[in-house]
Amino acid sequence: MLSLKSKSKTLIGVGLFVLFQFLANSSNSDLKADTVKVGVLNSFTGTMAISEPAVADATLLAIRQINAEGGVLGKRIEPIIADGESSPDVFAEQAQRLITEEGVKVIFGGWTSASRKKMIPVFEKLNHLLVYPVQYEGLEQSRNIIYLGAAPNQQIIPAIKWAIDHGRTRFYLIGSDYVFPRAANEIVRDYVEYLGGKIIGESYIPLGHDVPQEVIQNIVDVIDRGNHTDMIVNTINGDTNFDLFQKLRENDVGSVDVPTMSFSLSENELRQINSRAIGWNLEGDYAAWNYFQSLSSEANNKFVKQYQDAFGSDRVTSDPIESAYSGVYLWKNAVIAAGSFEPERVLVWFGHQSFFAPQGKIYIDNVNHHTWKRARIGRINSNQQFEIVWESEFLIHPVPFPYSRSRRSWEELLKKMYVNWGSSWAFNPPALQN
Amino acid sequence: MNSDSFFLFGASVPTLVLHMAPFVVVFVVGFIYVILRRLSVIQRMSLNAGIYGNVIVVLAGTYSIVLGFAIIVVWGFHGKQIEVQSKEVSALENIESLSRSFPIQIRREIQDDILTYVNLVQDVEWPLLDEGGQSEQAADVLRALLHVYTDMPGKERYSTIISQSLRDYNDVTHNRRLRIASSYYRVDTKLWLVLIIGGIVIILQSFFLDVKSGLFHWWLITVQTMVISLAISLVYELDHPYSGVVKIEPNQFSRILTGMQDLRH
Repeated sequence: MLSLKSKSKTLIGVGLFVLFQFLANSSNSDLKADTVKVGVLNSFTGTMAISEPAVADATLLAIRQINAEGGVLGKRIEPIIADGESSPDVFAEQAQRLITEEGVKVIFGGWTSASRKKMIPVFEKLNHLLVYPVQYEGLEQSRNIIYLGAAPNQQIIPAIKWAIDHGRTRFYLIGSDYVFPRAANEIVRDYVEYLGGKIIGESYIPLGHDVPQEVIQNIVDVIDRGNHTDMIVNTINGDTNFDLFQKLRENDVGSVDVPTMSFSLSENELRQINSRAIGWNLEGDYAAWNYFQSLSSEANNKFVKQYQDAFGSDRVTSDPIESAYSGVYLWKNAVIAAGSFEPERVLVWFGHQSFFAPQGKIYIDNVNHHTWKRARIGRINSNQQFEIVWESEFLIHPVPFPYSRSRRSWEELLKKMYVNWGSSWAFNPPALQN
Repeated sequence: MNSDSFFLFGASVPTLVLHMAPFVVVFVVGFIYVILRRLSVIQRMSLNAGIYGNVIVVLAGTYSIVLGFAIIVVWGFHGKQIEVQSKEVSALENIESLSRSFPIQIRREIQDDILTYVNLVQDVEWPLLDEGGQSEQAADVLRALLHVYTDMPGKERYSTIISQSLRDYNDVTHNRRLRIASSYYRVDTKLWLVLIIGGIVIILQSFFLDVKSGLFHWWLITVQTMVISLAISLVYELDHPYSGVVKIEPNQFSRILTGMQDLRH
């Protein structure tokens, strides 16, 4: 018969054992489950539905391939797909929901800077991880975000320099009215002036709106068709691009006299413009990216084939699609290096990763979490693909804050925009305001 | 992975092996010595001590010259590596100093390239050097630095400073190439064979010296073995300037960062 003291000790011992087991099980619960959840957050409705579903497809393709090879750390990846509805607020809400309710270990996605900026506080507060696949305006550096797209010095600045080197010295800036085009055009302005060029006009159109005729008229009025010195710098996002190019062609603004250099127009948007069976095309216009489908390499040919086999032979690959695909593999490598799915630990290892992507070898910068990559410029051909006319001879170190101003000065510029737009990262036209 | 990453009892494995070596030598020499004495080989071989002594002197003398030559060469090479690093760092410092004459936008770019280069050399490239590796990113940053000068608008205004900066830039790339190229230069295998086989022969020969006191004989052989093995391990260590106990650290690069003004903010 046990004494009361002995019984108490036994009970305490059993209690402690149960507690330790519980703690051990809860801390290892991730490793014991068969799957690990990841979020895929893109717009499947709204104006950005022209671009983002293809990026989600690339993410899902990489996940499918990794699962077919046995998963990561012995687990299958389970994608939880969410619709950002082309709305920054919805992106933030969905990010919060995916992390706190679904328990995802990483979120792949986002496109517009307005949506990314709305999501940043969520990721920073919850110390979570966003793998963001699109080029952007820079002027930002968050520990919780892995920026796979180009920083300004990997897309915007080389494109402006290339244009000036090729005799285009007068630029008309047109963009959607939100943070990316506004900030990108500030950078363009700085570098055009630095390199001895001139800005001849600037216009902004609210996201998802058609281009007003007076904007087109303004372009027609200021451009000089004869001297081959003018270029339109296009930072419009979404399906407004269709309207812009249609109206430019209707007003006889073509790629021979006044070509357009686009920063958000890829093969995917070209395919959709082309599919509308219109009487004009974008042949001869330019775009700056880090990847083009036409890139000639074994790795890229394989990637294009895999993408088309999975989603249809009429589908095309593009820079954000390729980045989204590579992002999943980089995350996988970081998870393996960390030996854990926990975002906090994965973040530590993400900065040491490199990957042989379809565009060539890329590295994640350990200091600013952006990606080292080559800059490329493509000219649109008759097949609505890009002929690569220039590429940097080396991988470019990502610099999120361009050198033309101090970091504080760039941050003040962004703050001013945010305040002017009524605590929003995009201009909200009065007709749309609630 | 660098061999220095392996640790045992709080010390790296190469260091541990080096520390254990004298004890191993004492044990092995003593063991062989006891066996040979038991078999009376030493007494029998010692009958022609005079002639034998002369042979040993010639052998040991020749071996000492070869060993000394090897040490001098690798020592000089090791010192050269430090000198190369010093020249690379000085050239980078000059570039940084000269950048102060440029407008702030260019100065920021030059500083950022130097900062990124130094961080990559210290954190990524240095651990790769022992295997003859290099950081491709560091090479790319240097190329980007060159473009700052070649793409500079209105560069005629700064032509003198640009010329000097390009001379310093060439010094950086030249010394970087030397550092990387020499990181995988190693003592030739044939020389290693001469050093090791020669050392073993000399040590074995000394077992057959005519020494009356067994204890003293054992002591002589042990000391000789230790000196030879330490000299060979010194050659090995100096021959691997980026690993082991006498490895060169990238400390000089840190000097650049301390003197740099932060223009980013």
